[in-house]
Amino acid sequence: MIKNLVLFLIFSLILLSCKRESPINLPPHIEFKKSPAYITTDSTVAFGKLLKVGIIAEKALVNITNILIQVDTGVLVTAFDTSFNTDYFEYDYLLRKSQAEEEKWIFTIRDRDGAEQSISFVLKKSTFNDFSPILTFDSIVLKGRLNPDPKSFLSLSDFSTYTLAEAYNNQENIDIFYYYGPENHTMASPGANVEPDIFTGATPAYKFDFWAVRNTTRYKIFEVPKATFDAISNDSLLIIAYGVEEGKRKAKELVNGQVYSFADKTSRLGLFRVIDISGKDSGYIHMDMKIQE
Amino acid sequence: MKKWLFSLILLLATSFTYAQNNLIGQVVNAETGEALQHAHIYIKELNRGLLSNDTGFFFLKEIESNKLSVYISYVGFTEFNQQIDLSIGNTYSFPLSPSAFTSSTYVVTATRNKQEVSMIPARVDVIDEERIKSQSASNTDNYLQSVSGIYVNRSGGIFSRNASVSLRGLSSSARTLILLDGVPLNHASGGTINWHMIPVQDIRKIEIIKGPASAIYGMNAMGGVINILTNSPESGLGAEAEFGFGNFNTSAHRITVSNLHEFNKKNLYWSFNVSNKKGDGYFVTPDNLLDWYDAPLSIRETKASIKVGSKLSPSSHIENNFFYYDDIRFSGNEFYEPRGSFEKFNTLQNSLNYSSLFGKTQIDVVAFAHQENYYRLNENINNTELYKLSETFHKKDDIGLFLKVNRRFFKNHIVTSGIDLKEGLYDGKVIYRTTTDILNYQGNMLFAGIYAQDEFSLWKNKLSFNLGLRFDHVVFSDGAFGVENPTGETGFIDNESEKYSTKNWQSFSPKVGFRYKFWKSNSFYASVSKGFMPPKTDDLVRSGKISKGFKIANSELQAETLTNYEAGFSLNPSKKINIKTSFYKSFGKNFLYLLQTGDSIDMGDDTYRQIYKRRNIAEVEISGFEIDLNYTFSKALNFQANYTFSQPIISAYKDDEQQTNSSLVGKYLAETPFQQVFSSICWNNKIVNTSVSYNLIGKQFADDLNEFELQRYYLIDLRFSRNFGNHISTNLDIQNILNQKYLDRKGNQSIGRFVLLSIQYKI
Repeated sequence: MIKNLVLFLIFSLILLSCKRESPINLPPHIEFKKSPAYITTDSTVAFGKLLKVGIIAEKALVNITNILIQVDTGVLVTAFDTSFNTDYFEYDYLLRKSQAEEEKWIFTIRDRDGAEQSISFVLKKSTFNDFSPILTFDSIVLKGRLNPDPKSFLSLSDFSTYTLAEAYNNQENIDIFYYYGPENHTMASPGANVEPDIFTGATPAYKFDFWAVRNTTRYKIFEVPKATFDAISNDSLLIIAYGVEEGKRKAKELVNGQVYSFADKTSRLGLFRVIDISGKDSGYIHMDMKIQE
Repeated sequence: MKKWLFSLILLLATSFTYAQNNLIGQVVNAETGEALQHAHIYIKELNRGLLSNDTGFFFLKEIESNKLSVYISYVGFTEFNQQIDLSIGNTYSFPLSPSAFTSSTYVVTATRNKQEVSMIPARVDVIDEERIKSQSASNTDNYLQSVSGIYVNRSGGIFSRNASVSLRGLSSSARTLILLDGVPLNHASGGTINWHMIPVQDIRKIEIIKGPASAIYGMNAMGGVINILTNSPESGLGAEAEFGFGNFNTSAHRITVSNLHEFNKKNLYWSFNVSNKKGDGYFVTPDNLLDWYDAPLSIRETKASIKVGSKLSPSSHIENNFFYYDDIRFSGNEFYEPRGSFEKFNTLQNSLNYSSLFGKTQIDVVAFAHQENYYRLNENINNTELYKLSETFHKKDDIGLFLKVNRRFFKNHIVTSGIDLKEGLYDGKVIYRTTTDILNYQGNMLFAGIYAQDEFSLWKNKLSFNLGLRFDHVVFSDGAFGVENPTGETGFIDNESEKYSTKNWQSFSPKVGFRYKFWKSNSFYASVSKGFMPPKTDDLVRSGKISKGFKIANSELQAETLTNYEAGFSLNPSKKINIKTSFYKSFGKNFLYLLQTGDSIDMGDDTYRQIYKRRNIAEVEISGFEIDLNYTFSKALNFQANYTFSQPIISAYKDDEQQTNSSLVGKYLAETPFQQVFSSICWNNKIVNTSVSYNLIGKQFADDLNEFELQRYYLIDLRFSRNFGNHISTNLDIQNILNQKYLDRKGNQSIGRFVLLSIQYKI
């Protein structure tokens, strides 16, 4: 009996000791698009200059799943990060030269097995600045969905405000959406993860899930005194405020006096300041805005 | 005068001498003539009980009476109760006939010894061979749907990822001990089991013991014990092939080869079984919500088992069982990966059972090793249309040794004691393929239990008692959790590496019960018992995404306990009717429950998930009632019905800061139906054996705040079976014949009607 037991335990331990083998990886391929429209090499560029980078990536053994764009100004930050599952990836990225003397832009492609490949270039700041003029709006009012005049949507193309039904019929023009929700007064956009409850009642047919075009605007909180905000006359502070790291899809818990920087679908930058905010679902937000032309 | 006095004295002396009878008896099997060892013998006139020896004999000397009332009982046989006259002879053979209800009437699970159901002070249900043949089942847990007090959650039928089986209001399979031929299947790390790996065609019998059985089984046996017993070869060389075809392009095949060789009162047997099952599945997303990425659930399963055993002597037996299971189950979505998200289980289990009688002492040894490798590929697109791809690897290794000794003392006491040792290793990793996040987690659980039990009966077995006590010691060690290169996908900001301190828990689990046969086979039972379950390794070490949010580990969890009070009746108003009822009230302390913390976490890009944490709820109360009716119209026609009521309520709750939180008090535990009904009728005839069953699952809540109520639903199943000669048999199973569809707690649509035709050929 004991002999049988010992043989059994030996047999069982053999079963339990099996291990996996690790696969061998070849890294995927990545290169810059080569055309005058794109930047591909080390350059000296004016602060504020908007540049276009074109990326082409292809799989080696397995599909590519992630592109990571980072910028190193002495501190490494992630400017862009998205994922997919494909054998070929092509992407145009807009970047703006920061106020750092030197910054290194790193483009990394990673495949599903973790193999990765990177390319990069360095941008140095020139002595010239490339600031653009801005538009100023002293009074933009957006209202909650239960307000008698529920114009909750804003277009950054013509700066018109829209109701939900009107916005649904002008999807390509809609950039900003204001609502009162679980995080109180919130600024978002059709491309944000907006709570479905916001569209209950008579309006569920116009839920963002059913939109064909969902523009995304991203936000970052920015602390600036009112006087400085009022004195802005070009986009230099707008560029500094937004920085290189991608913003969030929502500006939440808005209160009077707060300032947010934002970037729309075309990387056009702006700042808004909350002048007055009131109520809940039938409330409103009253703000100033400065935005690149 | 002196002469007649002397004659009188001589006559009296002679009479007295003549009245000093001896009795030589032998208890035998009326059908085979085999001696029956250790049969209970009771002589009413002498008020004396004794046991037959190893050759069935018993001896009584110097008996004054000539006429004796002899009562003999033996497990598996009808009782013998007759008068004998020693003036005719003093050597008797007492033949006992095998009982017509051998299979159902005796269980091995309730007390870890073979015991008659009518003697056990607990609620015991048995799914015997007849019920197994007549009931439609494509997985083992399908059989359990017919048992009162059991809730089986398997909305996707054979295409479900797994089944959840819970007993008496105790949600989670981890609170029910599942045994396969006495070997525990519950993983030490989490308590759950993979129901698919159990070879459903190999099942001979299922024994269910309801109510805490921790007094002899320890952890996992809080709600009860389910022991699945498999077939062993009963004759010489044989083979069986089975082919099955069903809707959703389902096919199932099986081959079994076996042999039994008998020699010199010993035997050697083996069986080999291999089967596979595959099906293209169905869409779990309701039809009106189907999107481009929805794909049907589909499965591929392969199982193999080898059983080798031997009856080494009339009183010793050894058996080795080896199981292999491998499957792939697709999860119902397909974005960019070929075939989409899927899960894979690869399981190996080996167990050795040895039992032997040494004199009056029975020794049983069970040794087992179980390895499960789990892999999951998961892809999805979140609310902001961002694609996610991740791989999960789990390894669970369990090894154990159970030693049990039992012996008879003082005529009618069976004393059982034993030691159980078990260790479970848990090692997991999640690699996110669309970011750089990697999670690692591991832990080790060691269980040691020692127990003792005394079963005894009085008044000719009219009153039986069971007293048990077990001490368990559980040690959690080598717990660790780490995050590498986080990006926010996992909710972590920086690299993390945490090692958890060793923890241990102890518990004493007593049980006291009695059963009283107040009239013939009608009886009443009552018992008080305590159950114990330590925390799971997964809850102690792993943080990360779960289906409903984000779970954080809690290394401060305490073991939960349950005290159960129950009573019930078993009534036989006639030979055709059997009614069983049970009432129970359970009080749980430190119940482990997954609760929202009230916070949410930004999973990156404004995708927020509710944070959950497994916590100890202060107190839970469960009230329940079960009633079963079995009516045997004739040998060919049988009706069965049962009703279950169960109400588990959170009666007290304190959060981590020991603040009393009233918002959960009075809430019902989630995923536990309040009421269930089952009924079936089976008709065996020469044309086609037919059975119809009805199963109603009542209202239940999907969440801990009781804000989401799941719809109640009913299912009607049919089975038709027929034999063609001695070699061919067929079964046609139609599950959910009315094609009832319902949404489960995850919002997935149930399978609807499932049809399977199978043909078996046996030689």
